[in-house]
Amino acid sequence: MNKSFDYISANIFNIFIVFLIVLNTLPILAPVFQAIGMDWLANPIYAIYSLMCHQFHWRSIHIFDYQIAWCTRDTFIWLSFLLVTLAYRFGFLTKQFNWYWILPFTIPIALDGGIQTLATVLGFGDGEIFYLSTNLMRMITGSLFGIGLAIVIAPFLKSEQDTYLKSIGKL
Amino acid sequence: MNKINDEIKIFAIFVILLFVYIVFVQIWQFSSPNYPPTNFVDSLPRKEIDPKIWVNYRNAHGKTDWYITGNPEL
Repeated sequence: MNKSFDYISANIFNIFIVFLIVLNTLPILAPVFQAIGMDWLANPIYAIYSLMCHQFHWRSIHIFDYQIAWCTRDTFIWLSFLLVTLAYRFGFLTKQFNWYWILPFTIPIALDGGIQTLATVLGFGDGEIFYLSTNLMRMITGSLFGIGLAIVIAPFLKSEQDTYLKSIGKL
Repeated sequence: MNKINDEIKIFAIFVILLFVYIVFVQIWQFSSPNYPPTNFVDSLPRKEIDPKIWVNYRNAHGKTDWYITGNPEL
């Protein structure tokens, strides 16, 4: 049991990166699987990601006429999170940002997504929706949010891993 | 590389993401004849669908069949 904990402590940041890579890859593979007739692989992915995203197809990027398993905003939140995390992993980024740096990166997504959600809820039924975002705007605000989260979380996880490795003399 | 501020590097990552979006839209454009993007920005809002249809649509796991076969308003 202790060995498992030791392994996790020594690799917590790396494990997190593998998780992010899988998380980012599966939704892009789902439409490919669907297009080549492998529904048995695509369907579980769509089902799992439906728990995390509304999956409106008009807010999603498509491949082979099938949508990516989550919307454009989610795609770029997690893709930006992955890129920044990899940048910390390989030393491209080193600076540790304070937690409050999340706030300015959250304002654009809160405005764009918040107003759109409000408009959608109020507009369902009669079809009159006073604000709809665009995929480009979803990409921009999603990316900013993902970057904001990652510049706080990624260096924290890296320092946790490094601290443990130093404590056992492996760094 | 270490002489460059991290803030500038973060901006560079954002530019890379913008490029990735452009690549995605191109793949979408070339691979989806039945449901192409409206333009680079994909800015023309498609008419929102009835929630009941949306639920059925979700149960179909993302297929665009309903959209393709269907609604003359779209």
